Amino acid sequence: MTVKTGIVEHLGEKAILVPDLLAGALQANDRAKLRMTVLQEAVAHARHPEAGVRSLSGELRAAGMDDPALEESIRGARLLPEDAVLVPGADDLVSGLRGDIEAMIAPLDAVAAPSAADFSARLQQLRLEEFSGETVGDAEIATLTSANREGRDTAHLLVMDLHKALNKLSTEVSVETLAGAHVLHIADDDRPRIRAFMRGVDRTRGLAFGHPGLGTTAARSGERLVIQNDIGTTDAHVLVVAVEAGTVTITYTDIHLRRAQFFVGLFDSWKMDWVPLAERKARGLAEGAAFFLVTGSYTSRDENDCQAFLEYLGSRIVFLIDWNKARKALQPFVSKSEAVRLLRQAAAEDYGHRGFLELGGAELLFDAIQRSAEGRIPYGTRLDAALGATQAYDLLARVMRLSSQGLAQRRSARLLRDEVRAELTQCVVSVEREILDIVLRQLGLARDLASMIQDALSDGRGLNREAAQRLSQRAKHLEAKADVLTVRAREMAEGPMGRGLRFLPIVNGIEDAVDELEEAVFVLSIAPDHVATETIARPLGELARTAVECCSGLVRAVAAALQAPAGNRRDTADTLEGIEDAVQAEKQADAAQRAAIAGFIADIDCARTLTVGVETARAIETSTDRIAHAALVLRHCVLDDLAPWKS
Amino acid sequence: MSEIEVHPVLIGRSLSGKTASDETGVSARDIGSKAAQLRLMSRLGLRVPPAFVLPTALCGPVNRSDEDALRQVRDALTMGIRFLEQETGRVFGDPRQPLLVSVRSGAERSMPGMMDTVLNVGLNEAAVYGLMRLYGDPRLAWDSLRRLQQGYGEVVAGIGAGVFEERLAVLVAEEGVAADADLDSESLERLALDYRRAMQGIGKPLPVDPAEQLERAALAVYRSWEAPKAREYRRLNHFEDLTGTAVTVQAMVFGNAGGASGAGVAFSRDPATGAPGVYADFLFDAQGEDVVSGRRLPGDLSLLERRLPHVARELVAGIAQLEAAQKDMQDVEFTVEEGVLYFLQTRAAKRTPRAALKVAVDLVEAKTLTPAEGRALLAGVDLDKIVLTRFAGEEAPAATGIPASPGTVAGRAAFDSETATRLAGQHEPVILIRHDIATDDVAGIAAASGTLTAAGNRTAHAAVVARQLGRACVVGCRALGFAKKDGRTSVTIGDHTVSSGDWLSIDGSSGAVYLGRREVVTVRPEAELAIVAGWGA
Repeated sequence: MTVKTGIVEHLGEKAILVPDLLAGALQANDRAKLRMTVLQEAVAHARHPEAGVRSLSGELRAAGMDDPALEESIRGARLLPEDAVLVPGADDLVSGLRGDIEAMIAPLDAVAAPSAADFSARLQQLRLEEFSGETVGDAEIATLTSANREGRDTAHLLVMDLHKALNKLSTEVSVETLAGAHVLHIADDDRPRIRAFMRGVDRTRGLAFGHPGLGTTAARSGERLVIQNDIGTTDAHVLVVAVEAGTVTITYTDIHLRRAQFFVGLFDSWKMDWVPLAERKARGLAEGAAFFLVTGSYTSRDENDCQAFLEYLGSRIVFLIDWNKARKALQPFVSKSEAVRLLRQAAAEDYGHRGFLELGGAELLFDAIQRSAEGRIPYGTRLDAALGATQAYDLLARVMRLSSQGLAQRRSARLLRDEVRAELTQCVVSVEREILDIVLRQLGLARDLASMIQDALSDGRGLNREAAQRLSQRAKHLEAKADVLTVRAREMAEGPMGRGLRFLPIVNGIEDAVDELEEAVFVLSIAPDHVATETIARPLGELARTAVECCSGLVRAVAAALQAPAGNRRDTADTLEGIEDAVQAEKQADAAQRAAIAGFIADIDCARTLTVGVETARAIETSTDRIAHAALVLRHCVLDDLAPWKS
Repeated sequence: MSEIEVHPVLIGRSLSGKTASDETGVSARDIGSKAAQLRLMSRLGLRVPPAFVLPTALCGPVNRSDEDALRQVRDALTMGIRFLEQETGRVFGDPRQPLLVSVRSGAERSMPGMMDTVLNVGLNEAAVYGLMRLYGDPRLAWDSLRRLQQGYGEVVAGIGAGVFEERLAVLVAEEGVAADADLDSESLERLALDYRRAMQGIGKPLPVDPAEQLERAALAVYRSWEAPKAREYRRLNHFEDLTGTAVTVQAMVFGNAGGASGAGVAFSRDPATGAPGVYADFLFDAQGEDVVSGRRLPGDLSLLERRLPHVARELVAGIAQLEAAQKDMQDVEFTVEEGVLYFLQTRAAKRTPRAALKVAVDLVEAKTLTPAEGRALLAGVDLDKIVLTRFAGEEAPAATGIPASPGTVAGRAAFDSETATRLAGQHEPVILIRHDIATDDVAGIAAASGTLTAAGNRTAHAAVVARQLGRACVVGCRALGFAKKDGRTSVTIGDHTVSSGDWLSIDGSSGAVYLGRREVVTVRPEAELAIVAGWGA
């Protein structure tokens, strides 16, 4: 018997097997009759060797008994003393007959027909198991093949009676199709429930994308409606559902533990009682065919609720097909637990994983990476390490969804693969955007600092002690914030997988600029008295203004770069323009610094004031150097992206 | 079903100079007094931030939920926005170069209960980057967004102010700054994100679609006409004949957009003396409120002349035009964005009695006003109280500040309004000395003969009030130090300590501060008083 039926039997659900058993029994009937015919022909040939041999090859072949030994039984039959006959392979014939009779009793047994016990008793009394050897005596021939009802019971009579009983059973037990399920022997109350289950199955059937399976059989067994679904075509992957009154009991077997766990997880939103996962072995199965058994039950509130549950259950089965294959397909890209999470989400949101597999599964992604993200995802880097766990997860979820929906809409596989590539590109680019976002924040703080300096010096009166202290504290605070941003950006850019590595010099440049500006504030804050700073305030204020302009230029450039990573011409032009503004502002700062220092050296006698002036001017001008340098790095990256050989 | 076909009234550069024959019959009654004034300035040829107005006529039907009126609102908004886009070259809803607008109410008369102005309508988180592209200032961009969130949230969506104030207060404390104006760009970004979460949590998020923001704001303006406070005010004051409020949608201009931008306030004459000549306070890279707050010291016209000479010329010419057109001294608000001057508002300037006299005389002499009109301009001014004063002798000042309101006075030092009022009650001249003036101090300023502050500038609150009241005032005196010991305040001027009750002298025309009591010499402006007398009874 197949593993599936073996397990089903093990589960004690014989009623569901009746059609199979019936079919088997009718075949066994044919075989039994043929075996008996072979025996008769053998005896006839032995007694009258001159009469020739009737070929039974046609019938034997039709019954699947194409064994040359059977023909040999007839040909090699010899008469023995005392009217016994030698029939080669007689013991096989008889034991085969015994098996056939057992098979004929099986369906009657499955439906618990009272006649089954009688037939079993008759078989026992024939004592066919005691026959051995190749010598068949007269009495034995009679026991096997006589059709005379006047005497003892014979195998032939038993077969004939069984055949009659089976035919009767056949008419009673008819298999009909209800909503796509094979059903037999069901009560009227069962019909809406079976329909509900099938509604669920049919709703998500498409997500299998042609994978065979999902066949459903239903039958009534005593007080219960029993539904069985094939799921995929893998043996030992079986789902049996029993409905009794309002309680639905699910019995699920699987050879994969994780998938069994996944199955249980599908019902998180229903109040189910689960019996813990247990490992079983079914009798009669091949070695190593252990399986995990899960049993859970749901008590419904009313008929509507019961049907709702059955429908939901039916709709979940497709997500079990090729589950393990899908999980393996995802594992080169994300962690095991994330792969399972993706599959859970795919089931929860009704797009499933089969579409993804149909488009190529892991190959689909490898191909996309190679073609679209070359150089940006270092070879050998797992996707979640290169993009970040969240990004990678979201990307894969999107790919699975678009595969499923795209195939369902009958869009071409080629176009869908292109879309997957586009998704990946977007993702990689979005990671770079994150770094530019941080750069923008750094620049904001740099500009704020430069602006603060400009404000403080703007009225030409200089800073008094109090104001200078406050300014110094604020500057430190801004610098501390900028540090945090820099660390974050460096981690992203320098991390083992190097996301956005090319923007690192920009990050570092602005960090340096912020440091210089904070240095400028520090020097101002330790100026001895505000009278002295009056004389240096105006030129330094002007210098600070150019620093603000410099930051503004780069802000404009980065903001434009952020808004259009796709290389839109307008945006690129604005980016380059902002960069140019920053570079020009640095030149202005240069000139302003020289003018300031020249003035200081010419006019200031006090060494302290002179030092404060010169040092502050130097620090502010250096900050613009750093910003301008960062701007040039950005230009390099932008022009790089525009290079004609990039796709 | 409404029968009116309503078009928005357009105000902008491309329309200035059009003859009065087009758009006839548009008055303050139709578009509100503020918008009427904007239109006036525009038709004089002065550049104002382009605007369009949904007239008062739609107010009633909208409040009756007339379907036709609602459709007309939508159509008018669409038409108006298209006009603004043409005028500004920006695009409403474009994240790259977003057009932002303010939405304000405007009736023929202003009244309580009417909707406050919502600024920066048209902004969303995508367009924030567009603002950065335009102005290169992340702080400006995030600040603009959080102002919109709060403005829209409170005024249009009806979210309680506390939701925003509390979060702001927490952030300000965390950052260790004095006020929101001191928050840096990174903090403001976080604040905007915090506001977004809060609004989403309440279920009233800021609409992402700019058109939706605009429509809702416009409808909210119309609906505020029927707010209980507004209705009550109208009833009490017998304003039942008013048709309703208009909705003015005006393009935003940013004075804080960098080195070639700024904001300022200008008088067509010296508000202390009435002498002709533009008297301006201007700050680069600032908004209007920065100018009056005193956080930064504004420059005068010469600052503008140095950096943006063409703007200074345009300002002077425009102000002269306005004084002539309004036939009175004007107080003009203006903004410069990237080297382009915009006039925002004009009104009759507050002035000292001394200045009022000079202005009236000048305008009548120039035949801008008739003598009768000149007398009307002087109504409420006590001509007998007008004196010019100076100190006798020469002395070096102990400190100097910014002259804010003329007058040379000597008085006893008082450090709070109560003391000032008490001393004045004892018939002592008083000089009120404060770090800064708050609105509660008006009584103190009135009681004192003069006011001296450490902070502030010429256009600060202290200066405005003192001028109005005709009191001497010196602001921005940085040499002033304040200390509190044993619950008693003492003030230092340089090295000298001044206790409550000590004598002090100040000159509101030069900004000089003297220790001790100086002798005051007074003189009446006889010539001008004679001219006025000649205007008849």
